Amino acid sequence: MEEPPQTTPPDQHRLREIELDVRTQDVEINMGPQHPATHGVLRVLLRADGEILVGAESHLGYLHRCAEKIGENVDYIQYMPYTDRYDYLSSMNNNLSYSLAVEKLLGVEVPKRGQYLRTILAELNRIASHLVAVGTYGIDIGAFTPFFYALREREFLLDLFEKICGARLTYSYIRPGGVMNDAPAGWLNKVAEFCDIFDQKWPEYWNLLVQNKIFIERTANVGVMPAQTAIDWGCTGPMLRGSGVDWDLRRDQPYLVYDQLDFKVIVGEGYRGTLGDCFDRNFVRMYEMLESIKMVRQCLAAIEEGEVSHPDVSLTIRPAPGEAYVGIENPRGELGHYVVSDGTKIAKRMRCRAPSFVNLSVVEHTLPGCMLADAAAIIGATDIVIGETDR
Amino acid sequence: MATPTSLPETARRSYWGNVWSTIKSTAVGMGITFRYLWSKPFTVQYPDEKLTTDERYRGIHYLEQDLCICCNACAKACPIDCIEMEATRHGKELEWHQFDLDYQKCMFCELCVYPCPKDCIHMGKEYALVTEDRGTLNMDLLTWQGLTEEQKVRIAEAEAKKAAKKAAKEAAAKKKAEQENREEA
Amino acid sequence: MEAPKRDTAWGPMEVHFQAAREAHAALQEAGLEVELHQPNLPIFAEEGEAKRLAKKKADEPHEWRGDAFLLLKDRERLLEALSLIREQLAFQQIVDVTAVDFDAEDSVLWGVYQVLSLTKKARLTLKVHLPKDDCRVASAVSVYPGADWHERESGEMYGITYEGHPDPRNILLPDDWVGYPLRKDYEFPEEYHGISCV
Repeated sequence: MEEPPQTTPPDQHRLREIELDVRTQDVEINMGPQHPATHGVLRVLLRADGEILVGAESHLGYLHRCAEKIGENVDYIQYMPYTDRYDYLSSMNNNLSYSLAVEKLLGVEVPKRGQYLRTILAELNRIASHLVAVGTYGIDIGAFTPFFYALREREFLLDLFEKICGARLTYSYIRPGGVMNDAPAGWLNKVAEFCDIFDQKWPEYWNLLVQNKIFIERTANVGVMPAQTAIDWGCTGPMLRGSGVDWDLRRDQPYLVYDQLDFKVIVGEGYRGTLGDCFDRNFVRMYEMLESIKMVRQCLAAIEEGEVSHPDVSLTIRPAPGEAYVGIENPRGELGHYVVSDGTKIAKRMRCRAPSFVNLSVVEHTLPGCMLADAAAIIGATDIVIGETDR
Repeated sequence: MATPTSLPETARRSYWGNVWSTIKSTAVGMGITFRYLWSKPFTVQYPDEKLTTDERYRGIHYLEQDLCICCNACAKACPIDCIEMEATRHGKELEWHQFDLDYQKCMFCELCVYPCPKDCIHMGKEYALVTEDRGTLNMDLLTWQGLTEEQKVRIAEAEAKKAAKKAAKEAAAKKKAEQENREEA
Repeated sequence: MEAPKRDTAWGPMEVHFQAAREAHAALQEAGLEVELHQPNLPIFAEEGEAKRLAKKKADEPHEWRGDAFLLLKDRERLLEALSLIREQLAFQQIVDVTAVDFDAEDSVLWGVYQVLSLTKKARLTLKVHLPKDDCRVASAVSVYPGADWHERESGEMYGITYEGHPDPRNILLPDDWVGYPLRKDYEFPEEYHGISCV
């Protein structure tokens, strides 16, 4: 952060005057379903008056796979692989949210080593997810190179995940009652190695992408969302923190071992433009990666030998009847699982409260008034994963 | 809800300041990429070079057929019912007809491996499942079909043993009956 | 405000129970008929309980575990209750609006509202019972704008009419989908526009 913030709030009225002077007929433009900037099969119907958007409407459901209906038809343990597939960039966190909800119904707490392992994996997965988010955001606004740099570090992380659970994308590793199996020998040292590498590489993304003049021009003052709007519309995660709201479930609803870790909640501060613009959301993501590394280091220092899974929970799970809602801080916001059980092997309701779904719902209201060329920048900064909006 | 529209910042900042910051940030970026110009590439040429998969890798399954007892535990554990197996029992020996795993459905979750009582189904290290024909994805995991020669020998032995036992029993019963007859007489 | 104490590995519990009790008192004071349901079982299971439960027969009598929730008796007064929860009790954010069809033979669906207070750092669950033959309830969008898409989703999945919703179209399903897929008595269609579903 060498350069001082140099920004001027946009002169909204003058721009309006210019544009209204040359009023044209509204044009409807289909963005998607096959558009690289929508990150999946999302169709946004944009209505533009010249270069300025006057309306937007999202059409989703192209990737609807009935996850919630499936959840009412399979066992508790059998549903676990399906949770991988909502937000396929942060499967560990999805598994975690689901497992915590089932454990709440069961009333069991995972042994300490299991909790530390889960925390390490959730944080590593957050880094992997943010790397893709920031990298692909670069592509959205025209910078291709940073994406390759981001994927290089992600590759290291995926190797780590492959070593511990055998899969590179859909992990199915964290399961109700613990984790599938303990970390192999030497794995924790590899994680420490990754932390060191990442600390060195992080300034590269910062200088290559976030400090780039074109990036700043494309994102600062674009798609500004005031804090009140973010709260009203239920935004969570970097979308909410980018608007300056100091809220993080890891600190404010501490689960696993987060209460013992020392970390800072990164909040947008209008570093390059107005508070709550696209730049701030990426700013939050960038610094969150560093905080995650910090947390992983603390976990590595504190982790002890011991059991990783609760001995009472086997592959057959039959929780006491009841209902449980557990929301955790996913890379994209609050991922909640609301599980209703009637005491049998199969759940009565398996609700997934998806962060991308909610964060996308506000985009319709941020887009009007922006330039057409900024639509990709705003949708990209929301960082949606269509697997999760549609489930 | 209307949000503020962005005006290009350029319009309100000094022209030369902008030129300078653009050149500077481009130079910084170029400096980073320049450093990697002579370093070794991180990528591999995929079909020619392959990365090794890890010990725990969850790839295409393999089955230790001689251990399997056709108990259907893995098929029941599967969330999408993609395993189908069929075998006829000849005493202790199994005559295998099919052990199909449908890789169009399989999501490589490893849930079939855990409940196996004989620990005979495993996830392998193979991963390339590229095909031009979907039908080939419904794979048969069996290494042999029907009965092996050894099994046939064992079945024959077992049957011979059984027959001998039966004959011995019958002979004993006959003897007994004869004795009884004699006593009666 | 300090972050609530971490009671369990899945997050704080006591602060949510406390919030439910407070909300119950406040809603009753305002003349709304509300029931407070608190779990009967302790938060943590005894040693070996999970193992025993996994083996038990399904029809054994059982106790309720998990979250506390408020049940609003009169669904006509939902908006009143929600605005009281938002304005007086400072639950600023709606987290989730959904419904539960517990049993095909039940005559009611549960409408479930999850709200979150950023200042109190607590969650609250509010439920209403919606009769299946007259499945309508006031839309929460006027109180919590964030309920918009959630209501569209549970509207199409459960056939609930959210009265006063600004845009009550299907969101995940096609516009011409027949039936309400998440209801327990839903029958899977044979085909959709010539595409076999079997």
